[in-house]
Parts: sequence; C-alpha cells; structure tokens
Amino acid sequence: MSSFQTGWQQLWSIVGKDLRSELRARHVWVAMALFSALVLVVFYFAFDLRVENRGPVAPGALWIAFVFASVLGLGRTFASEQEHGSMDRLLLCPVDRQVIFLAKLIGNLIFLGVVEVVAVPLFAAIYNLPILGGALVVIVVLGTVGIATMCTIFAAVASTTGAREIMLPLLVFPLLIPVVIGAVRATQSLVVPVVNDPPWPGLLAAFDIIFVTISALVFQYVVED
Amino acid sequence: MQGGTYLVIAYIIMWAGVLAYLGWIALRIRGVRTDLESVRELVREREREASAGQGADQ
Amino acid sequence: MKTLTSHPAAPDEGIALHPQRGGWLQPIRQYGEYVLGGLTALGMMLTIWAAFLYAPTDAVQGDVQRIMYFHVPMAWLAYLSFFIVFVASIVYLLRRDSRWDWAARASAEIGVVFTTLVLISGSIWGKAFWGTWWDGEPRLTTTLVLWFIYVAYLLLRFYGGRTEGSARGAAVLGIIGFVDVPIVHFAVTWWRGLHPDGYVLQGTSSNMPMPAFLALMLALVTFTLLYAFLMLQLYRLERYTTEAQRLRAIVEYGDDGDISAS
Repeated sequence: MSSFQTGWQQLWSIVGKDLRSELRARHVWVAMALFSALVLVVFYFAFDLRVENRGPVAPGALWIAFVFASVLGLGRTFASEQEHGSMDRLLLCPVDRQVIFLAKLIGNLIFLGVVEVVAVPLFAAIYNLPILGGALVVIVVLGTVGIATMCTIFAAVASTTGAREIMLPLLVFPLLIPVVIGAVRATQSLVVPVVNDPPWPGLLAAFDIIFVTISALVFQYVVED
Repeated sequence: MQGGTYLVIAYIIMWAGVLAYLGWIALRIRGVRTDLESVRELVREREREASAGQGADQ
Repeated sequence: MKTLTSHPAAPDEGIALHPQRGGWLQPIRQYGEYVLGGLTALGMMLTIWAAFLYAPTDAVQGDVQRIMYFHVPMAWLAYLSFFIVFVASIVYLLRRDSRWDWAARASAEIGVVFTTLVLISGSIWGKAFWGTWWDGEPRLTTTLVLWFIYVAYLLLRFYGGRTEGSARGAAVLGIIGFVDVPIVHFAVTWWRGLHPDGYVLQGTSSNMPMPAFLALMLALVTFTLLYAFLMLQLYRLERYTTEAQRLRAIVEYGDDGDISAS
C-alpha cells in the first residue's frame, strides 16, 4: 500500500472519529447554527434595510454571521484532545502532521457546511434576496475554506495561551479581512451585478490555496511537543 | 497657515511618541537590571549557604 | 546545587550565551552601541534640519508635505521590523534557538510602536490634504490591518508567557501574518475598484526635487539606524529578562533540592 493511500485512510479515520464524537457528545454545530441565525436577525433589525440598500448591505451580514459562528465554534477544534490528553496519543501515532491538519480542516468544513445549509436559506428568506443557486454555493464554499483554514490553525495557536476564547478572534479577524472582502464583494455581485469588478471568486480561490498551503506547512510546529 | 498647524501637531505627536518609547525602554531595562542583580545576589547567598552547610556537615 | 555552579553568576554581564566574548569583536561589542546611538542622534538632528530648512516647500501640498520626511521612514521602519519578525520566526522554528525568538519579539514591539505613529501621522496628513481623518487609502488601510495583526501578536506573547509552546505559536503567527500583508493590500486596493487615491503619495515621490529626495533618503537611513539601536536595547531586555527568570527558577528549584537533600 502506498504512503498516499495510508495517509488517505488515516485522514478519513480522524475525520470520522471527530464527527462521531461531535454527534455523540458535543453538538457544537447546533449552537453555531443558532448563533449565525441570530446574527442574521440582529443585523436585520440593526440596519433597517429597504429595497434599495438591501443588495449592497445584506451580504455583509451573511459573512459576519459565518465568521462569528466559526470563531465561536471552531475554537474548540483541539479542546477535546487537550482535555483528554488524546493529542499526545494522536501525535504519537505514525501520522503525518499535515494529515492531522487536513483532517481537522475537513471536520471543521463539514461543521461549517451544516451551519451554512441552515443559515443561507434563512438569509435568502428574511432579507428577501433571490440569490440561491450554483454561483452562491461556489462563493460560500470558497469563503468557508478560507475561514475554516485560519480558524483551524489559530485554534491550535490560541490554545498555547490560557486565554483561548479571546485570543482566537483577535488573531483570526485581521488575517481574514481579504477573505471577507472577497466573499462579500462576490456575494454582492450576485445581487447587484457590478461592471469592471475584479474576479473575486478566482481571487478567493487563490487566497484559499495560499492559506491552506502555508497553514499545512507550519501546523507541525504548533502541535509538536 | 492651516497646513503648518497640522505639520506642527503631527511633528509633536511623532516625537513625543518616539521619546516616550525610548524612555519606557530605558525604564524597563533599568528595572530588569535591578531585578537581575537582586536575583544574582540571592544566588550567591544560596551558594555561600550551601558551601557553609556542606562544610558544617563535613 | 550542581546547576548553580555550572552557571556561575559572573559579576558583570555574566550571561553565558556569548562564549566568543573577546577577540577582534571586542571593541565593536564594547563601543559599537555608543557609536550607533551617536550616529542615530546625529542623523535625527540632520533629518530635522533637512526636513524643515533644506527641503523646499512642496508646490502642491505646501508645508504639510514635510510630514512625509518622518511618516515615510517610520512606515519603512515598521515594515522592516515585521519583515525581521518573519525571518526570525522562520529561523526560530527551524533552529529552536531562543535568541531568534527574542529578536522576533523585540522587532514586533518596535513595529507596533512605529505602526501606531505612522497611522497617527498619516491620518493627520489626510486631514490636512483630503479634509478627512480617514479615507480608504489602500496603503493606510493595509497598515491598519497590519497594526491589528501585530498587536494580536504581542497579546499572544503576553498571554502565552515565556514558554516554548507560546514562542512556537507566535512564530507561526509571525509567518502567516507577514504572508497575509500583500494579500490584505491587494484585497484592500481592489475593494473599491480602481480608486484614484493611490496616486497621492506617488505624486510626491515621482517628480520630487533633488533636495527633497536627499532629505527623504537621509531620513530613511537615520530611521534604519534607529531601528538597529532599538533592536539592540530590546534584545538586551529580552536577554536580561530570560536570564533573571532562569536564575530565579534555579534558586527556587535549588532551594527545594536543598531541603530534600538535608
């Protein structure tokens, strides 16, 4: 069996383990979905949107909801490992560090995906925007990969301190500004087409590739002990 | 001239910032020096005590 | 008490991290700092003279443009220090020599201080020239994001304490944060489409008269010297702090050892 196949199997066994423990015990995704729905509703009241300003403003609320929910929920990416000491066991296994990172990233992507399946239709309904479709799915996926990558690597970094809950948003928000700009602009262009706009989905994909690559490269230095 | 006022304000803020930072660094270095000196004194004391203790034991 | 005697507390500098003390480097070690400090002070006085008396008043902006003789070099110093954080973080992760970690921490602090001054002087200049304190000018906006990234870096170090795990986490932020800078700049520039603000700063530098150019170059050299001087001081601070902590740990640990031995 090639090392690639081994890595592939290890990847999915870690993902499966995390998903099972999530479904069995933690249910963080319920809190995340509820929280993002709540952010959408709060923004709905905070901005008193009318027909003419709904298009430019509403996508911001959607992405703020995703970023907030991610920081809230994904900060616990490595928490159960650290509490039960199973991080050491995971690191003792002959598993590549990159595989561990990718497994954690995929797990977080699945959580966020579930949250988005709840939040996006709600968003389209309460802001009354007919934007559901293939293009929106592509943009949401591209934006989510960037957010989940940064949250995964910095969840590990923030747990080196005693103040993980407050450090994670402080670390992640400024780094995510390019992703938020790109995702919001791309979503806006679905509502109100903009001429002469840069190709934001392509730029988002480029940001994602850079973030995933560099995070996978440096992850080993955060977890090793 | 209006521009001149802003220039003076910016200049004063920048230099106050740099000088305050230099002063803060100097204070911290002095603080850690005294701290280091006191902990070294403690180390020397311990060493003397230890050698005296050993001498008494022998 | 074996640990104590293996690290003798010498009366003067006494930190056993520079075993190559002496030799031809000795005069540089001893007097280099004073020379550097003196050159920096001299350069600062020359820069003040050049910025206010030597450089001509800008034809378009008037006297406000003279802010640039300090604003631009401070921005250069800030970006230089974040670049040094980036390099030192990489070397630290590869070599695990905590001296590189001290350098990264020291450089990040200098960078944050000067980024703050850059933001203040930049928005004062904006108020004078554009009439608003804050405009979405891409370079200033990028600098603001940069400020948040490296303040978070300092907070991470503060909350993490002086442990190896915290140093590794901070190094990771030092690397990803610096890689993020061009991405942020790119996104912010495109954020408003092709915004015509970018030309303002370039307009002052592209057809700059010779004396103004020389004054700016002098200011850049001077602030680079200032960076080197500040790095020396902060590096020493890190060294002393680590040494004091190590000795304190030895004293406390040795104390326990004594009690258990007797």
